[in-house]
Amino acid sequence: MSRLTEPAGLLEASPLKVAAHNARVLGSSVLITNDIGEHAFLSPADYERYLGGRIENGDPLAVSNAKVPGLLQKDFVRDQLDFAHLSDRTVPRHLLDWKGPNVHTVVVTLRCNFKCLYCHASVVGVERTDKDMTVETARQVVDLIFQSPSPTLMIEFQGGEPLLNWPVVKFITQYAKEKNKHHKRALHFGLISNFSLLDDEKIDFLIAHGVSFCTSLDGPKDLHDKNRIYLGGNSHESVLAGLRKVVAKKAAGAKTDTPNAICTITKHSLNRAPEIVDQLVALGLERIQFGPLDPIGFAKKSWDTIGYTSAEFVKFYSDALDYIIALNKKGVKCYEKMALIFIVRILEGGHWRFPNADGIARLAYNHDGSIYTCEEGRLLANEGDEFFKIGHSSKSAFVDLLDHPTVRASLLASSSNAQPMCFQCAYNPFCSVLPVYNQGTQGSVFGSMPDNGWCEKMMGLFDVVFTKLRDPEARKVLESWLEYKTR
Amino acid sequence: MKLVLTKKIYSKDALLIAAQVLSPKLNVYLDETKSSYEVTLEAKRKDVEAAKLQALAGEFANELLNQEYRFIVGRFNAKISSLIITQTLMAARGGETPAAPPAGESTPEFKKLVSDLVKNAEAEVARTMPKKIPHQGNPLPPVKEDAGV
Repeated sequence: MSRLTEPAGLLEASPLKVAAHNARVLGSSVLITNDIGEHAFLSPADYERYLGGRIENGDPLAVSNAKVPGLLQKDFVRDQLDFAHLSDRTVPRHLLDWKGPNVHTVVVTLRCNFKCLYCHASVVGVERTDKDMTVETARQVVDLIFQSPSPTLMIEFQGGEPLLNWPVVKFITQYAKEKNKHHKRALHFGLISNFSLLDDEKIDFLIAHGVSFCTSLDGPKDLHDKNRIYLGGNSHESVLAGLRKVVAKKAAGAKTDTPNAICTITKHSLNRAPEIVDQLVALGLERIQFGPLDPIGFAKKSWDTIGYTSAEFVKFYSDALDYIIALNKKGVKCYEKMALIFIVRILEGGHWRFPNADGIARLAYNHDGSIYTCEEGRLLANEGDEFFKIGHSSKSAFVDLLDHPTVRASLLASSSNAQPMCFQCAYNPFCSVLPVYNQGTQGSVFGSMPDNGWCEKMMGLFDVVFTKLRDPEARKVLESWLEYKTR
Repeated sequence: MKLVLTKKIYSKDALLIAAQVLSPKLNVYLDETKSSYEVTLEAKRKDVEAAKLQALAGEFANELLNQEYRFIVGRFNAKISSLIITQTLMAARGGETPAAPPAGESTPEFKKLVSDLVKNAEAEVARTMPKKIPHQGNPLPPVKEDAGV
């Protein structure tokens, strides 16, 4: 995998014909992209013609055919730019009407009954009730959440294992719903749990209050149990039992979404993509979501035994995506979440790229009331780096959080146009910079892209997805996944 | 180890940031003449070999270049970045003056309801949770794969 991004410069570009773009050699093609998120694949010979300004108006590459817009329509030809089109595409990508933080991660306890090899959540033993969120702190947190002007609010319960502090999960849900009778927001809840403590009483309460379910399932039993050690029982069986209970309630008419299961990829998963996918599909889960490990928090300490290179993860991802696409061709309904996010950005111009969402669209609340720009920022704080801490539930008002200099610094650092390499990268219109990853791995929110693992991984993943988009049959499958984008 | 860096290429700001980034591994001492900066690098660990120190110096030089280049790119896009961020922050905080809470939250009925919810939750905590224990220190490290668990 080459980190070089632009063959431009090797050839002389015609200043009147060639609009600003970035390019990347991808297999036998050159992928070109521009700032409004358009892309085109050219053969090396056509790219040379394009750069030389020798693509005229009637050229098949320049004009649209029934299926594909040409270079003119995509604003790759400088002397024929459509400024109304450029403006329409640029404004929504940059000057978004941000509504305020809508995703609020609430860590109701650091206690956990699992000891996962890759745990990044800085958990403590089940007896450590000193690491539970108190009812009073929970009340303050809910009050803060409702100070956000966002018309949509999502409260995510996380831990540790959040069900270990069940009274506070219940309280937050009930209190938020009571407050919302006056605020009238679109209020959603999500539970991220290992499901080991999920009994019928809890499921009924959660479904009745509109809480969605998400868990971790790392694949077949041996793999799952190796990664996720349950101190009080059988890890794989407990998560399957929880999933089946929720699926059964849904089948019986309960108003709830199909539960989601995130599959964390460790070194042990790398050669087992088909088995992992089969496990998830067999449970009736349509959404397949892979969670790559990042060397942040406790995962950093276990990196030697469970970590891998970015290239190894990209290879796994490519294998898994091939397999999922093959299943789709056989009529199995399933999709891969990361690819869906990418193709929404690539094919529909969706999603922002700058600034990223930390602080302005999401916030994280620790059990003790400390507030961070994002969940990963909280994890770094548990390791001793409190850079992303921006307030406390007992004394901060919502506007204090947004006015905190860390939020502005984090937003500035998330600009790929301020990043060496990123602003020249063909994937710049679709990618995102993660200041918290940079801080955690390289000691600076700006990071250093040439040896940045996130950058290497993202470039590899975009290589995989763009390669699939060049294959008409695979593209057809990927385009069909757009129906899942609002789920 | 000593590096001599011309002021025509490197700025003091970039030097300071690079020193900060490498501070967990290196002590960095800075001096200057009219035309250059003189940077002395010293490994924080006492047992570092010459080859390792050379590698750390390379890391420092790469970071310095990265920061210098970032300044160039950042200056190029500073105005538009600043505009976008200001617009973003202002929109996300709900404008200059955030909206007041709904009047319904100030009523005695609502306050009573909240008070009851709090009491019930605290009673459930007392009834169902393990006994509260005092602060016990920092979280545990993760279990290693070979721990035989």
